[in-house]
Amino acid sequence: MSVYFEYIKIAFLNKCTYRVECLLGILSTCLQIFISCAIWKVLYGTNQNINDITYSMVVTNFVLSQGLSKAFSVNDFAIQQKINDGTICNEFLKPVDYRISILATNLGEILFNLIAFFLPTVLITSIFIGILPPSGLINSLLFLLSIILGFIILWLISSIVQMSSFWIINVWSISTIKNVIIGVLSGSLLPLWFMPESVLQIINYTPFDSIYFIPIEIYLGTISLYEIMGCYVRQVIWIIILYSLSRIMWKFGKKRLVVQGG
Amino acid sequence: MKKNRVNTVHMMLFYSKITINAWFQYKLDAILRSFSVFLREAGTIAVVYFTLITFNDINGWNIKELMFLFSFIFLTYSILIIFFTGLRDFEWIVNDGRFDRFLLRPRGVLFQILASNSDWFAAIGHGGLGVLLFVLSANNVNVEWSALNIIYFAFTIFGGVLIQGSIFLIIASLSFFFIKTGNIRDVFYWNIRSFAVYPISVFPKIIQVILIYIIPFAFVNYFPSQFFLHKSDMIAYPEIYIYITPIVGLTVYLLAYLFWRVSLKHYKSSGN
Amino acid sequence: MIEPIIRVENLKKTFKVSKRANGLPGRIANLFFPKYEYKKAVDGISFNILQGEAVGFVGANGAGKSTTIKMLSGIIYPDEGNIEIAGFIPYKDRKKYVSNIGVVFGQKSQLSWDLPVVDSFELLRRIYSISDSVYKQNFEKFVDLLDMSSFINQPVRQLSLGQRMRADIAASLLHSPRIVFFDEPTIGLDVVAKEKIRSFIRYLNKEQGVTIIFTTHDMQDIEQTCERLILIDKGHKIYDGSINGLVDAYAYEKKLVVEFMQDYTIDEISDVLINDLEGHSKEFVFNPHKVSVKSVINNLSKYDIVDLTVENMNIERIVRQIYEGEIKL
Repeated sequence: MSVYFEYIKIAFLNKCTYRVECLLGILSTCLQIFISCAIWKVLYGTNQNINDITYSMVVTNFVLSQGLSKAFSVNDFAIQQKINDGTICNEFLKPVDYRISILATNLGEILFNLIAFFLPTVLITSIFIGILPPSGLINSLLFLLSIILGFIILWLISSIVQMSSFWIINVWSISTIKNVIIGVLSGSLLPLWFMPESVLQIINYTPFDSIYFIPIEIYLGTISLYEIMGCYVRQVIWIIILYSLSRIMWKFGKKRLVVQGG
Repeated sequence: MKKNRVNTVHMMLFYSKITINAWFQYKLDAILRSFSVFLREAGTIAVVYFTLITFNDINGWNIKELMFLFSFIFLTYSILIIFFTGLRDFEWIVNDGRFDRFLLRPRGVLFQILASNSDWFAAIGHGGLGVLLFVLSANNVNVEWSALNIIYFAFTIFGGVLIQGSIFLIIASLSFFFIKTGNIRDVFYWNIRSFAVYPISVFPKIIQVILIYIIPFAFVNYFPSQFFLHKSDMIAYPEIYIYITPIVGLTVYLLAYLFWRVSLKHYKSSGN
Repeated sequence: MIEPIIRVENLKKTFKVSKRANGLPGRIANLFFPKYEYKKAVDGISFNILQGEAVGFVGANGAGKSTTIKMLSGIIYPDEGNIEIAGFIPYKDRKKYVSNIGVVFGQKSQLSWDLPVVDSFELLRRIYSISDSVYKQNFEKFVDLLDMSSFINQPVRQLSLGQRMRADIAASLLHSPRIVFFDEPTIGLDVVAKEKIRSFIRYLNKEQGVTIIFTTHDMQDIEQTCERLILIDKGHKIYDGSINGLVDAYAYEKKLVVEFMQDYTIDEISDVLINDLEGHSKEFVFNPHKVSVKSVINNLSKYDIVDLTVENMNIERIVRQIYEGEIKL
C-alpha cells in the first residue's frame, strides 16, 4: 500500500516544478469560466430567473464543473506512451499493479490540481463573479460523496480510452471525441437545465451527467433527498458497468500485447 | 536570386509531399483525426445552437448570424494551420532537437519551421466545418456575392490568417525564454479565441479593448462579418475597422517578426 | 605555416539554471520563491585546429563539450570570445557558414521517422541545393562504404540503431562538408557497428582530408580515429595534445603483478604500494617517474617467482581517473 502512496507523492512533487505554467493554468480556467458567465449574463438580461433557474445558479454550475474538469484532467496517453517507447513490459514486471499505479499517479496530480488550480479558481471567480454557497451541511457532504463517484466514472472512461491503445496506434482521436462528448453532455459547457428535452432523454441513458451535473444539483439543493439516492444508485451502476468493461479490455489487451511481443 | 526563389517554391512543395506521404502511412488514423477535430469544433457550435433554442438570440445575433461569424474563425484557422503549424507546436520542435537541426541548414530558420510542418488533419476538420457553416449561413444572411465582396472576403481571410499567425509567432518566440509554453498558448490563443467566437459587443469594455487593440482577434471575424451583416452593435466602433483587417494583419505580423528576430539570439538549446 | 581552419579564443558561455529543492516543503517554497544559479558551462576555452586534423573532444557529462560544439556549429551565441571557422563567424554568417560543416548527433536523428531513408536524403539535396552530379557521386559512395543498400528504401522506424546511425551520418555528409562534428555517434552501439563507423570516419579524414571533431565517451573511438585529443573539464581545457603524450605524461602508475612460489612476507620498498592478490600473487603499484621497474625487480630477486607481468596505464583509465578527479592536470 505504501508503495502506491509513494506514487501519489512523486506525482504531486513533479507537478510543483513549473510555476509559470501553474499561474497561467489558473488564469486560463478563470477566463474560460468568465466567458461562459459573460454570455449567460447577456442571455439573462434583466430576467431574475428563467425556468426557475437563477443566473447565480448558472454561474455556480460553470465554476464548479469547469473548475473541476480542469482539475480532474487525466492523461489519456499514459498507456500509449508506454507502448510506444516499449516500457510497458517493465511495468508488468514490477511487483505493483500497473493499473493502480496509474490511478495513484493520477490521484497525486489531481490532489495538486485541487489545491493549486481549483481552490484559487473558486476563490477568484467567487470574488469577481460570485458563486452560491452549498445549500447546507448535509448537502455539502452528499455533494462530496457524489463528486467522488463522478470522478471515478470519469477516470474509468479515461482508462477505457487509454486501453484502446492496445488496438490502435494513436488514441488522440478517441480522446478528443471523448472530451467533446463529456464537455457537451456533462453540463460543463451548457447547464443541463437548458438542454432541449430530446437531448436530455438521450443523456439519461449515458453516464455523462453524473460526472458533474448531478453533484452540482446536490450542491445547489435543487433535487430532493429521495432523488439524490436515485442518483447515487445511477452513479454506482455506471461505475459497475464501466469497471467491468475496463476489466475485460485490460484482460484482452494484455493478452494481445503478450502475443505481439510488445 | 530568381533561381533561388524557384527553388524555395520547389522545396515547399517537396516538404508538403513528404508530410502527406508520412500521413498516408496511417490512413485510418488520419481520417479519424480529421473527423475528431471536426467534431470537437462542432461541439462548441452545438452548445450555442442548444442555448439559442431557449433564448433565440445573443445581443441581437441569431443562430444563422452567429454561424456566419464562426465560419471566419474556422476558415482562417484551416488555412493558418497549413502554414503555421510549426509555430503552434514550436515548444516540441525545440524540445526534441529539431530546431537545432534547422539552425544547421543553409536556409531561413522561420522558412524551415513553416514549410516543414502542416497539420492537415486540423486543416480538413476546421476547413470542412468552416465551409459547412459558411454555406449554411451565407444564404440565410443575404450576402450578395459581387466581385467587390469576393475580393474583400479574400483579403480579409488573408489578414485573419496573418493575425493569428502573429500570435503563434510571438508565443513561439517566448519558447526561447521559458521551457514550457503550452499554457501561454492556451491563454493567449485558445482562450482569446473562445471569446472571439461570440460578438465582442457582449463582453465588458476591457475585454473588447483587448480583442481590438492588444490581441486583435476582433479583426479576424467580428468586424469582417459586420461588412456583410450590418448589425446595430457596430455603432460602438469606428466604421473604418470593418475594412482594415489586411493592414492589421500585416502590421502585427511585422511586429511579431521583429520580436522573433530579437528573441532568437536568446536561444539556449537546452540539451538532451 | 598552415593557417588553422578553426580558431577558438577564450570562449565563454554561462547558463541560468533554476535550483531545484528536494522534498515537499522545498518544492512548494520554490513555487513561490524560485531560486536560480549561474552555471559556467564553458569558461575560457581556446584552441586552433588545422585543415585535415582529426581531434577527439573528450570530457565528462556536463563538462561543456556539447555547449562548445553548439557554439562552434552556430546553434547558440557565445557570451564572450571569438570563433572563426573556415573564414566565417558561425553565429553571424549562419546561412553561408553551415554549408561548410556537417553535424552528426548520436542522440537525435535528422531523418523523418515514417519515411524511407532515401526520401530524407532527397529533402536534404534540395535544402543544400546539391548539384545532381555531386549528389549522385556522394550517394553511391556512402551507400557503398556505409553498407546501406539493404535498408535505403525502408522507413527509418524499421531500422536498427546501427543502421539508423549510418544513415544519419550519410545524411550529414551529402553536401560534402569540409568540417564534420561527430557528437557521440557510437552511443549505444555494439562493437561491430562501432567499428563500421570508426573505419568510415578514418576514411573521411585520411582519404578525403575532412577535418573531424569527435565527441565520445569511448576512448577506443578516439584512439582509432584521432591523433589529437582535447580534454575538457568544468568548462576549462585541461589537455590538448597527442594521445600518446597524455599517456606518457600522466601514466603516474605502473603495476607489476607477480606470482610467487609461496606466500612471502615482502620487505617494504620505498614509494611502492604492495597489495595482496589471490593465491600467492601480489601487485606492486608505483610511479614510473620515481621508481624504475628494474629497481622493483631487484628488490624481489631473493624470492622465487613463477610469473610476472607489467601493466601500463591506458588512455581509458587515465581519462576515467581524470573524470573522477583522481588525476589533476
